[in-house]
Parts: sequence; structure tokens; C-alpha cells
Amino acid sequence: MTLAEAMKGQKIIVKKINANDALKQRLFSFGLVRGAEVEVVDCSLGKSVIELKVGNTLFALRKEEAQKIEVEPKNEVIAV
Amino acid sequence: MQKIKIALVGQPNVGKSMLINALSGTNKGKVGNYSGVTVDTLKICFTYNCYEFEIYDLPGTYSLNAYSKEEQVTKEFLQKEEYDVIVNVVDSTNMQRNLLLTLELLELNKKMLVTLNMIDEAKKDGISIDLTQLKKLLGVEVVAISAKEKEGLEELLKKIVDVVKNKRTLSKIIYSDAIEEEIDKIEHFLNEKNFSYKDLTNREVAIALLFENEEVYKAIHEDPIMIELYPILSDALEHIYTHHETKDIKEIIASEHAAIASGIAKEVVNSKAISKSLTLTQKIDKVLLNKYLGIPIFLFFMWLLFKATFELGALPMEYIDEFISWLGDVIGSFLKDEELRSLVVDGILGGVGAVLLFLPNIVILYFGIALLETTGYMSRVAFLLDGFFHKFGLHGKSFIPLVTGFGCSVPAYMAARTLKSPKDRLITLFIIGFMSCGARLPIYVLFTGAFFSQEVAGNVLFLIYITGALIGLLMAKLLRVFVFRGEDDPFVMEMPKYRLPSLRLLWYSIYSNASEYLKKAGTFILAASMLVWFASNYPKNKALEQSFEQKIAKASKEQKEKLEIKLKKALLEQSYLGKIGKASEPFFAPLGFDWKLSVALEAGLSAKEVVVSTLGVLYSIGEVDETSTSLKERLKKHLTLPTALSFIAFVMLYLPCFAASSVFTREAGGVKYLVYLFLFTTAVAWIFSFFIYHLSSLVVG
Ligand SMILES: Nc1nc2c(ncn2[C@@H]2O[C@H](COP(=O)(O)OP(=O)(O)OP(=O)(O)O)[C@@H](O)[C@H]2O)c(=O)[nH]1
Ligand SMILES: [Mg+2]
Repeated sequence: MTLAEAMKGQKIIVKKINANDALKQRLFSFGLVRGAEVEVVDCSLGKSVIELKVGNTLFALRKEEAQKIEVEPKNEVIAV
Repeated sequence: MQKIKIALVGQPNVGKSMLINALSGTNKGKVGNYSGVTVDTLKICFTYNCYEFEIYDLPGTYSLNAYSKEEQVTKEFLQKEEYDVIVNVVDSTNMQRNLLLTLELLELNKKMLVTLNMIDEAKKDGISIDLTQLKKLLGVEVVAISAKEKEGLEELLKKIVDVVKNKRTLSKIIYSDAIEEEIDKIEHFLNEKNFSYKDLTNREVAIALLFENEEVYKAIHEDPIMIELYPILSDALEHIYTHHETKDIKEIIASEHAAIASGIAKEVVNSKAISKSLTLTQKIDKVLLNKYLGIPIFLFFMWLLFKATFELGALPMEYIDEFISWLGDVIGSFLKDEELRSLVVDGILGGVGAVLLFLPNIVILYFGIALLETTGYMSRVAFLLDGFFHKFGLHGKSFIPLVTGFGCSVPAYMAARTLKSPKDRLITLFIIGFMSCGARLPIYVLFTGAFFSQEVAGNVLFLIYITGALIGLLMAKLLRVFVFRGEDDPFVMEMPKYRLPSLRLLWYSIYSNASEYLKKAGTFILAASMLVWFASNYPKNKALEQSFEQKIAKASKEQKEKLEIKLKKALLEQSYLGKIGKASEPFFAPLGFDWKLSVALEAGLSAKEVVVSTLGVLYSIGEVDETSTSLKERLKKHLTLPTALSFIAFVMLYLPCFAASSVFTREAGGVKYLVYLFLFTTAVAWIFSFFIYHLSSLVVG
């Protein structure tokens, strides 16, 4: 799944970032690298922008960019 | 005295500008709670212990990749300038992310010192940091400070002197095994060849080569060892690629840094609980960023601000007004010479006084903008509006320069630097002028006060600003569709923690803006008023005066007054200013403006305050009962509502003042853009005013 599909309040792990070089670098410097844990804090009307939390950083990202980030839910194993 | 040149580098919003202010005891660095407050280098000098400190406050940068224009400024400074030491400012409440930049800076192999700022906030959040261990791991000196509480500043200065005096210490960073292995191989080879480059160790050269540092590559390229080094290097890179499963060396460096930063943070940061300030921020966001309520809440705040600007501002206005007309009476009774009396009372007091009247409004408006900038709400609004802005071809981040434009267009044009794509930047630059700046506020307050009742005037003021903003958006769309077509830029923006602004900061922002306004009134506006007075009183026309005087002498009492008014009008119309006004009248006539309004608009090209002062002069010269009525009442007497609305619209949309235009030209990158801006804004203003005038004429009848 992609980051754009994640629900509000959900915690996920980053698998792969398919963005262009510049954007990738910017995401890296926010701590959004492969294996990082991300929480979806909030989203705006129509989910056009989402607020994310990585470590102690809060930042905003558009849906278009979120679609370029492959993720997986954090606690998948718990379900029985 | 020895000079120490310091580059102050850190991620955005970590308190660099606040630190430079605290160190130098000035308020030169602009402080605000969002990323990208500082967009240009600021140099501050002071002496300490017989050392001359020269500190450069650089724009905040997340990394050294130069993502946006202001980050490029920092990168270029670091690469091209000579400096003695890098002072890396770090936010102690967000060590892990801040360390990513620290690691990049360490790889520059310069003298460096790490400053943990906001230690007060860290303490409140229950975070403690092991400084000795951090110093050991990084290999450079570490100081904990609070720029806000002015703690640890003395120690910081002492350590800076120490670092500069002593030899450069080496970075102690250890990379992953795969990389360390290759570093060792290359270093060993370089040692065998007795290679040396500048003051770098061969380990540092090896790292630079592996990380594809251009400068070192160029240097080594001319060295004969390149032939032997090349296969070793490509072998090493091949190993690293296979180990990291990617061939993108930048990504490899990023993930190395991420791992190191997280390792260091785990080792030195001890946080007992989850960050209190961050949880609070998330709670506030639940309300302010609410899907449905977020935008209405923002609009409510804006409405409140303009309501307060008008209504609270009106309270002291009466007293100022009374004081100025009292002053006019007193001075007038002392000055026997009619000519001199007119210059002082009509010219200077009429012009400067009309501008001074609006000081309270300006103060309130700037207070509101300062709150927006210092609390952390600014980035939230950009978040809320991005979806909406995006539809109009604008970037959410444009909100920051646009809002700055409500204060003054000059810093607004500068603030547009944070936009990455040149097209987004140009579109934003072109519409910043539609966000009415503080200097236009007096004109609006004057006209709304004259033509609307006290209760609704505040709402009208709000409407004026909103209309300006909406027209700006519409024009952005047009520009995007017809002129600056191109790819959308990603929207990635940090949302800072909410912070209570310190009273000192708010006070300073109000104080500096108010004194700026007063200074301008006492200098520029004063000169302009005198000029306008002169140009509207000369040349004298003795023949005309005499012919009227003969008539007046013969006339009856009632006719006398009419004739006097007629004389003044005739004299004014044949003055220099009258001639200029008459010449441009045809252009403005379809908008309902007489020549006085036309001249005021033209004079407003120098500075928008001059519009009010010019009207003040022109309307007090033409009057018979000079002191008894205010400018507001005179306007009400002479103008109709459609003309007033059309005038407001024109003021709202036409070219910004001279100072702003020259900054625009610099930021946009050429005089040709200023020509475009002039044509564009004049056309928009004219067309819009035309419609307003004729539509409202129809309605009013
Ligand atoms: N609690 C606390 N807040 C601080 C301290 N230093 C700065 N701040 C706050 O942090 C925010 C950012 O400060 P600035 O000085 O504008 O940050 P900057 O690093 O210059 O930011 P850019 O110019 O955008 O790179 C402001 O809201 C300051 O009030 C500190 O020592 N303690
Ligand atoms: Mg700054």
C-alpha cells in the first residue's frame, strides 16, 4: 500500500520511496527513510494534504507525493 | 584585535536568528516560529574579550542539497566564503533529525562547534542530553544554550575562541562496516603513496572520494595516482552498492546518516516521557486543522483582526485628530505671513497629520501579523489552504509571502525565496501586490470611515482585504494557465511546535514597525507633502487673482463666498499639480476620479502613505473653512460612493510603492519583469475599478 492510503492515526513503516531526487532528499532530511516509522496525524478536507509525524518532527505532504511512498502497517502480525 | 568569522548554520526554526540577537544584544535578526524566516545572510559584528566577532546568520537548511533558493544561499556561503568556524545550531528537542545536518557539516572538514539550543524547552519536556558523550562521539566541542533565556552564551563565546585558536579536531563518526572497510582500503593506498591534500587526513580524503565530493575529485584528477586509484575506487563503490541494494550514492549516504544519527540520539538523549510540548501541539492541531472547522476558524481570526484594526484603532484616532487641528490653530495664529501659514498648516500638518492619524490602525494590524508569525499558526494555514491554493495554480507555501504582504511587500518579495520552483515563485511575486500592504490601510480606513457607518466599516475593511486576496488567486490562475505553465512542485513543509510568543518579541515587532512608520512620516511624507503643497500653490497667477478680487469687492455677501471658492478652485487648477492632474484626468475619468484623486494615485507610486497625505493637502487648500472639518468629512462632501469604491479598488490593485518595486525587480530577476508588473497591475486595477464604478453607479442610481 502507499502512504496516501493510510488512515488517520495509523502507524506505518516506510518500504520504498519512488520520488524524484530532490523530493527524496527532502524526505530523507525529515527522517523519512526506508524503515522509518511514520504516523498519520491529520489530513485536510478531501485528503489533499496530510500531516505526518516522523520522530519528533511534524510535517505536511500532498496526496500526490504520499502516493509515491510505499509503506506497510506497523502491527500487522498482531491480528489472529 | 583578532577577527573571528563565524558561519551560523542549522536547520530551519532552531533559533539561529534569536541566538545572533542574544549574542549581539540587538534585534536585527528576524525571529518567527516557522521554517524559512531568514532568507538572506545577515552579518552582525561585536567585540568580546578583545576578539572581533563577525557572525553570519544564514538561512536555515535541512541539508546541504540546496532544495530551495534560500538553502542555496547557505550552501554557497559554506562552499565559497572564507570563515574561521562553523557554529552548528541544533534543536535539543529534536536531536535525531538535526544531527543529519550536523553529520553533513562534519564531512566539510572545517573547524566546527555544535550548539544545543532550546535547552530550556528540553528541560521542560524532561529531556536530558549527555554532552560529554556527544562530544566524544562527534569529535567536536558541544555547548548547551538557550537563546531565549540567554543561558550559556558566555560559555559559547569562550569555546568559539578556543576552537578557533586550537588545531582542528577530527570527526569521530564511524560509518557502517561495509563502508568503513572500503575507507580503510583507500586510506591505506593513499598513505602508501604519501598522498596529501590541503589539511585533510587521508581518511577524510577517502570518505570524500567515496561520497563523490566534487572538489576532492577535481583535485585528485590532476594527480598521477589517479590511474591506480581509479580501479580501487570503482571496486569499493561496487561493494557498497551491492551491500546497500542501490546505486544511488546520495541515498546510501542518507541512510548511513540516518542510522548514525539514530544511534547517537539513542546513546546521548534521555527522555523520560513523551514530549509534552509535542503532545500539546497535536491536541491544538486537532482543533485548528480540523477538516471542516479549520478554514472557518482561520477566516474568523482574520475578520477579528480587521474588526479590531478598525474599531480599536478608531478610539485614539479622535484624540490625535483633535490634537493635530489644535496644533494647526495654534501655529496658524502665530504665523502672520499667509504663505508660510499655508505651508505649515495645509502642507505639513495637512499631509503628515493625515498619515499620523492612522498609526493606531497600523500598530494593531502589525500586532496581528506578529502573532501569526510567532505562534506557529502560519504553517498550519499554509496546510489548510494548500488544497485550495493548488486549484488556483499556487503552492501552499505561497501563503507565507502572501501574508507577509499584508504587512509590507518588501519582506514579502524576499520571503518568496522559500518556494522551490521558479514558476511558483514568479507567480507569487506577481500577485503579492494584490495583498494590500500596511501602507494602504490608512486609505481604506479613511474611505470606509467616510462612507460607511461605524458598525459596518470593520466588515468592509475585512471584505476589501479578502477581495484583494481573491483577485490575487484568480490572477494566479490566469498566469498559471497562460504564462507560467509547468509541472507542479511537491508540497513538503515542516509544522513547527506551537509556541507562546514572548512579550519582548511582540513588543519589538510593534515598536519597530511603529517607529518605522513615524520615521517615514517625519521624513519622506514630510518632504512629499511640502512638494505637493508647493506644486499646488505655484505658479501664482496675479491676473486671475485680481480679476476675482474686483468681482468679490462688488459682490453681495452670499455671492462673495461662492466667488472665493471659485477663485481657489481656479488657482488650484492652473497650478503645476493641477496641470499634471488635468493631463492624466482622461485616463482616470472613466473610473469616476477627478484630477485630485488622479494626482493622489500618481503620487502614491512613491509610497502608499503619500496618497493620504496628498489628499490631505489638496483638500485643505481648496477649502474656505480650513480648520473646522476633517479630511474624512471633506471627502464625504466632495465624492460619491461609487467614486469612493472605485478608488478603493484601484488602490487595492495598482503597482506597489517604489521601494517594493525595486525589490521585486531584484527578486524576479530583471527590469523586464517590472515592466510586466506595471502593465499587469495597471490593467487589472483599471478594469476592476471601471466595473465597480459603473455597477455601483447603477445600484446607487
Ligand atoms: N524555548 C525556546 N525557544 C526558542 C529558543 N530559541 C529560539 N526559540 C524559538 O524558536 C523559534 C525559531 O527561532 P528563529 O530564531 O526564528 O529560528 P531560525 O533558526 O533563525 O529560523 P530560520 O531563519 O527559519 O532558519 C522562535 O519561535 C523562537 O522564539 C530557545 O532557546 N528556547
Ligand atoms: Mg533565522
